[in-house]
Amino acid sequence: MRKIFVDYTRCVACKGCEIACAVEHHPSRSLADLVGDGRTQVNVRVLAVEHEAFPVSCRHCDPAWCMAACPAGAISRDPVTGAVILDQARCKACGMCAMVCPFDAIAFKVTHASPGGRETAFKCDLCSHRVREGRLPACVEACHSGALAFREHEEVRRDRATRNLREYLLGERALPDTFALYRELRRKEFARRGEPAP
Amino acid sequence: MERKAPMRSADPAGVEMLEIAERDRLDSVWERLEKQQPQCGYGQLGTCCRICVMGPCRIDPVGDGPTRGVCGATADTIVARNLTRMAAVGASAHSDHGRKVALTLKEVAEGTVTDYRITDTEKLTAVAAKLGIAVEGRSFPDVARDVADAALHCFGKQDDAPIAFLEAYMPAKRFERLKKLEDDLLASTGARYGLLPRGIDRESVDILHRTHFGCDADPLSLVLQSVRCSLADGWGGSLIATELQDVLFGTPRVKTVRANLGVLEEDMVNLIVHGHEPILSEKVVEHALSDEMQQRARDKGAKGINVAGLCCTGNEVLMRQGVNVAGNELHSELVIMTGAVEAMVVDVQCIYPALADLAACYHTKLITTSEQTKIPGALHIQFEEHRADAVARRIVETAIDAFEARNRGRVYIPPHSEEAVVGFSVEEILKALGGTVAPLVKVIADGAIKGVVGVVGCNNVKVRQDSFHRELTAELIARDILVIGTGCWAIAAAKAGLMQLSTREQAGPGLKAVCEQLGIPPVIHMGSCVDCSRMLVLAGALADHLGVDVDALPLVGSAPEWTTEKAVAIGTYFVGTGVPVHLWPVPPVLGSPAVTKILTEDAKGVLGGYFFVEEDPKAAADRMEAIIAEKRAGLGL
Amino acid sequence: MKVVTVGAGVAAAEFVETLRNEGFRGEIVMISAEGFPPYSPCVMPFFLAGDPLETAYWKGADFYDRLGVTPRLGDPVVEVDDGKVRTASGAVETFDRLLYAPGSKDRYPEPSWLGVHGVFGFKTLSDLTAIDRHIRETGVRRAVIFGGGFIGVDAALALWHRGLQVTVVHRNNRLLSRMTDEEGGKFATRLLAERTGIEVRLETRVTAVNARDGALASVDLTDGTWIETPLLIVATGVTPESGPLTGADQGVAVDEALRFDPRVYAAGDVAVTPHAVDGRPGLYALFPNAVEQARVAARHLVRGEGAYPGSVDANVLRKHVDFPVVSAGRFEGEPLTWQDADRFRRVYLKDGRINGYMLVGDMAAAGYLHRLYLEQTPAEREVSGLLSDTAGTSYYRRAVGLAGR
Repeated sequence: MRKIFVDYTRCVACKGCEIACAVEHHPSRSLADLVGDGRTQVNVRVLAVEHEAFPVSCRHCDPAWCMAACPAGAISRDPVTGAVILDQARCKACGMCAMVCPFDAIAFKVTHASPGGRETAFKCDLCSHRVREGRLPACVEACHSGALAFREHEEVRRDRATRNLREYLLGERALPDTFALYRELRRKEFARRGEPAP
Repeated sequence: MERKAPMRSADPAGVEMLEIAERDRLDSVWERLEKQQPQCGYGQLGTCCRICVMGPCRIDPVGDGPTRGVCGATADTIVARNLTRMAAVGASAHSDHGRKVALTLKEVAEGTVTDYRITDTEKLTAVAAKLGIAVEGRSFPDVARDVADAALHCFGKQDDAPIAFLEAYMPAKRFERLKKLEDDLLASTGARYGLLPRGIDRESVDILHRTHFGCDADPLSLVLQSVRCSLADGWGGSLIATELQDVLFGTPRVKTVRANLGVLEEDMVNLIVHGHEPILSEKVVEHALSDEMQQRARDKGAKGINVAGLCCTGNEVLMRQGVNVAGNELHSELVIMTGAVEAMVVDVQCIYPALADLAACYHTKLITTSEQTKIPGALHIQFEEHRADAVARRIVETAIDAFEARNRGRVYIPPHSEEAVVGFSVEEILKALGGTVAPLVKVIADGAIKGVVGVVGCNNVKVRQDSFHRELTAELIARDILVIGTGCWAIAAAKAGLMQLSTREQAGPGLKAVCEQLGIPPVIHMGSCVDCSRMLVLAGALADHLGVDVDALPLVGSAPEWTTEKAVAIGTYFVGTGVPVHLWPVPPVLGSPAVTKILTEDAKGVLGGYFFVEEDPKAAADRMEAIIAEKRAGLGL
Repeated sequence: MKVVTVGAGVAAAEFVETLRNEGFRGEIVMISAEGFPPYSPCVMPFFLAGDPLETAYWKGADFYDRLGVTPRLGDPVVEVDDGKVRTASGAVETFDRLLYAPGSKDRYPEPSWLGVHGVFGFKTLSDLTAIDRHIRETGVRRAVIFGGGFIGVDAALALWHRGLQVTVVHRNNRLLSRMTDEEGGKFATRLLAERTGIEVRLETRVTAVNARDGALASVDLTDGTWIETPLLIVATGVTPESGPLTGADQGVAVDEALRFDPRVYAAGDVAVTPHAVDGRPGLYALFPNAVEQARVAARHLVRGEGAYPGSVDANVLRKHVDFPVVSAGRFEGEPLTWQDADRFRRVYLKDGRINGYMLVGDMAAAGYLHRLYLEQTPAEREVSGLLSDTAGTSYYRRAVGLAGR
């Protein structure tokens, strides 16, 4: 199965993924219409982890703890894409899934898919409707810097191993100098902010 | 649990107020910074272009994505355009301030504005002489009108000659160097690159033009234009603001004030003046101190009226009127949180829109006064020069009337304030030196003072408030480096007690001896951020005295907690004048290796001045000391 | 091979579905005391709060048909013996393999109360449909819940959401006393009362129910007061339905494959299983445990292999309200606490590992905490940051190498 892989060292925190996801999951599919619309569902969020930015969304685990925990039968696996899908029509927002999700990838609110204006859980659906058509998930398509990739797990593992070897043997650097410098300066800026008074 | 406050401010009063803010769950610039995380890296790298509607475009800094915008602009072009626009905005803000002063001086001279007068005729005469305006046998208003016209001509003239103020004030060797550079670039490339400003307004408009869709894509050309525009600020707009304000309100004289939130008075009507211009605040101070208003305050149960400054409006009235200063930029919310402020009157620049909501949580009136700075939720009392007295009275009355609504249970004034010796205009420095820079040159030459670092403010919420200002300043004076400066740095230094005569005990032996001899502190307050022009004038005087260019002098500039576009203009005119400039945080240029190289390396060869970035105060001081040593060696010292 | 299930609840339905998924094609009979398709007790209260009944059938209303099951409904099993089960009506069903999963039943302080019209349990969908009918037919606007454990609070919230004025009478000094320690429980109780307006009467019991014309009129309390109400829900505790199999109501002891004996598996609320973290045997009557037990048992039946990893006791109450109460593990060890006005978080550490925890007010740190707890990861360095983590960054701090700093 193909999944969304995150290389946070490449995340520029532009939040383009958030916007693309919001548009993709809005009934109007329109950026203009989701402005000010509190029901807009955004299934990915770029989380600040000190100086690092980390795009967080469902990992589509297998087996998925959330699926086993859901007492409403609202969470199932898409037979084609392998995505863990949360059916908001069945969801009671009881919180069991969020309680066991190690990635904090499930949130709650009234979305356009919530029945009867009641709060439900919501999460990434891997853009299964797009993937079935051979397209990329919206967030991956929106990511310019290679922080998000939609790939087979084995392929990614192999690539990472080779890349690490090349870096080790040939001294190749994964990031361009000025971007590496930017990351380092950002780290320093945050580190200084976290220091107690001398 | 982890205490946030000590990590947010190095100022004890700041820490106390931040703890109150945390306890009472008050929103603040620090809270909002946390909520903004993570901030967009394209913006921080300078590679986001929103100039046309084919975009917005972003250039991937990692190298996996697009390397050109829709129009074909590269990261180098985009970064250079964005940076150049920042310089244009900063220069415009300073210069537009200067324009208003020149217009006021003209109206005072012509008698159409009667609420102000020419206070410092000595300065007027000196400025006129510098500009080559005849003084002998003429009335002061006549001279003043000519000076104002000369200044206004710098803004709006249409020929290609350099502006008069720059030509009159810039040290000769620097002026020649820039002129030669223009000629050399034309000869070697066949293309025209301009460095000497033709008109203050024109250079900003030029940038707006050349950064329009489909114009200048050459990073070098763009950066050089930002230098020209910034020079039009430093040696034009800002200089005009400083010089003509001195004429109107008096050249600053050395005096002693107190700095920090402890200057607020529990039993008095506290009126804060915040922003950047003295033109209204001078009047507010005048009327607040009047017997009539003091009596009115007593009638309302207060012991009187206490005016305190904030930010650079604070610096203006501190330098000239000896008004105590409550704090710098990051204190602007904290001062309201004391619950003891009846009114905060603001003019322009560096005023958080958030102040309106915060003031609404208290009895505090936030009063906006400028056509250019209106804030939803604030009380707007329109300021106009020709009825300055009436407006100032109304503002003071508004403050007094708010006193009754003060909730005494919410008042907490942190008991922190430090004495500071301030008011060092170039004229005062020369006076201390006996009328000439020769003694200063001598102590530098014999090594008692190794060099001079000019620091300019801002606070930046990304840096623990005042920490860089304090640590860098202390490091430098300990190394026998004289520290001069302006803006929010100056307030930080004053709050830290670094501007006392006794501070010389923390200085190195050479600097200490010089301070004792001259009766000055080792840390010199030269005014508001627009008064960075005073530092240029001082540097120019040193260069002219020695007959060298500015880049030969052991001078370094620094903006260690910078925030604003004005700081880009200041840093750039320092660099354009030949002074190496330290910055922290890093400006939004790293997305372009080419622009980064121009600013940090190539500029050194071309202009003598250049930028460097350093996040640690001690390491920054090391670097500055090394630069000073290099310059001293160059001078054969 | 013929498979019979006693019960048609969560465990039985999951067991049957797993059997079919594993390729079992033999005859399956499901026997239930009630007359519904398999339903989820966790979802059931939403029916009372206004959701359609069908949403409680978490595997679909067509379950029996879809999976080729013969249902024998409305007839409780009274005896299991030597390859046969006998029901209350006297019917006998033989089996080759049996899943014993009838769940548990309410324990009433006074069985006679049930004879009064207007007094109900809150354990089965039969209870809830009866309550719903009672509310609709007699226009009930007032309810008293006796018992402030998970089920009692669940009932109170459902009826509050329906618009009734609700009082919870509870013998302990805080609601949810099994899910919380004293301080956390009191915090949760205060939050619940403040945010919902549900009246909470602590350290109080119902001593008598008073009927008028056979219908409930009021209840008497230990503090000498009484409350006029046409509806009393008794939720003071449950007992496993193990009698028909073991002759006692202590639950059913099983081996690692969930077997009571070579032909009989047991799962769900009757099964006595080891705790996944500390191994202590007990009745861990939670939905995810029932599902996992049923799956292990079904796979074992088909493949002859597999073992149950143990039960978890992590639970959350977050129904109709936006302030969840999460708890897991044992409240023993060194307590570490973080709280503000809206949130209370406490972790009990033992040997540097999480022994139990309680989160009231939000779930930002819940999932990662759950994982650290289940995997018994050394967490001493991380835990204080984790407790004050309001943004849900804890897992990601570890992922980017900033954990424990």
